[in-house]
Amino acid sequence: MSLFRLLLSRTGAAPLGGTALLALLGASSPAWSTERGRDIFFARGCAQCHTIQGPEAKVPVTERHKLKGPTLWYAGSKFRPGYLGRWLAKPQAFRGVRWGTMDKGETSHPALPPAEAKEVASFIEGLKDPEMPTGVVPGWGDKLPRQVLRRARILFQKEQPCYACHMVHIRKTVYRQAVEVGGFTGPHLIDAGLRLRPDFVVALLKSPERYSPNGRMPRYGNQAFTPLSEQDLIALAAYIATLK
Amino acid sequence: MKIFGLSLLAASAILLGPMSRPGAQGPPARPTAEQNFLWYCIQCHGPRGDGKGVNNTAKLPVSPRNLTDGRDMAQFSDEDMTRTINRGGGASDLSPIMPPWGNTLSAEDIRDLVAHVRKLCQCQFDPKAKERFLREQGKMPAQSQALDPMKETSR
Repeated sequence: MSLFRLLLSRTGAAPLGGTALLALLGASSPAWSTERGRDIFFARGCAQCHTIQGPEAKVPVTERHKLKGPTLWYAGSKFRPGYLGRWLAKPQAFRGVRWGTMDKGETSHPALPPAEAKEVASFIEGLKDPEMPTGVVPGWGDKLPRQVLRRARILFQKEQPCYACHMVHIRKTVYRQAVEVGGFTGPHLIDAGLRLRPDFVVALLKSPERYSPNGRMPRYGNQAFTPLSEQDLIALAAYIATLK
Repeated sequence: MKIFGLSLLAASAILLGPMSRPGAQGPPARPTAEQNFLWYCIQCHGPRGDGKGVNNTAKLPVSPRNLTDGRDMAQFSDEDMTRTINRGGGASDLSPIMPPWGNTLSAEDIRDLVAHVRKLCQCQFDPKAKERFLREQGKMPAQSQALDPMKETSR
């Protein structure tokens, strides 16, 4: 009750009403914030384009253009904490083509007021895949062991050139500034280190049928046609985590 | 009685109709080669297969191949194409920018895609074209420079 009074006195008392009070309480309690995030998610119509139930069903290639937006059922396992809150307040397209098409351009995404963005992000970050292994990629940060970095660069730039579809900024010794290279159809990896959890990158490469059954990305993994070893996948994920 | 017989026949046709139709109850139909091409290959090779896909940017080390160029495409046998689609460009001594699709598409899908590419290039495999291409690339010694095995043994 004393907390209640304190809040009332700090917010300038009763005229502000229940909404402001709820928002304040929501900000102070993560569980409440998640609940409010869920309400905003549905009230704002996010569910019209994004599904939150998983795993996603495989759709025939002729029907895939009807999918309106990426699934979010494992978003908490995919995105780094805090990224979605910032992104939802100021969304920027990940691809250089409009969603579901091959037309150059960007698909616009509605922006949320910062307070709401934080709450919706709190809800989405709670959507995790309990079966996704964590702790697979060691916490090297930006300082990768020399051999890992070398192997990852060879894979990323030479053997399986990811940049054919994913735009990146590659720093070469001959240029003072990073060079922007890459295609438009895959989500860019320019700030992938701020965006993606490295464990998710390994999981996606190993089980694309679970995380991206309807995407255009070729399937990698430890199979006959693309013998990428576990070490290769870890090196790639750790390298992608350094792209900022 | 005749009317009853006819109506019974009609009723059984209505009931059994959907079941007896081929493929109606079975697994979903396999996508055609063109449908797969317009979902996967379109990214680099473009909707017409002329290599003008969205990902064909100036900073790529190689341009995606123009699949409608019959003279150029005649150098590839069906086996070459299948290997390239399955295991990527690197497996056929081409650019590894072309990724492997063997895990994504089934063997039947890839066989159909090869037939589709043959339709796009309107060409058949020509061994002479392959020889000419390899010579141009410096992957095969010119005939005048080729070693004569008899000369080697006589020394």
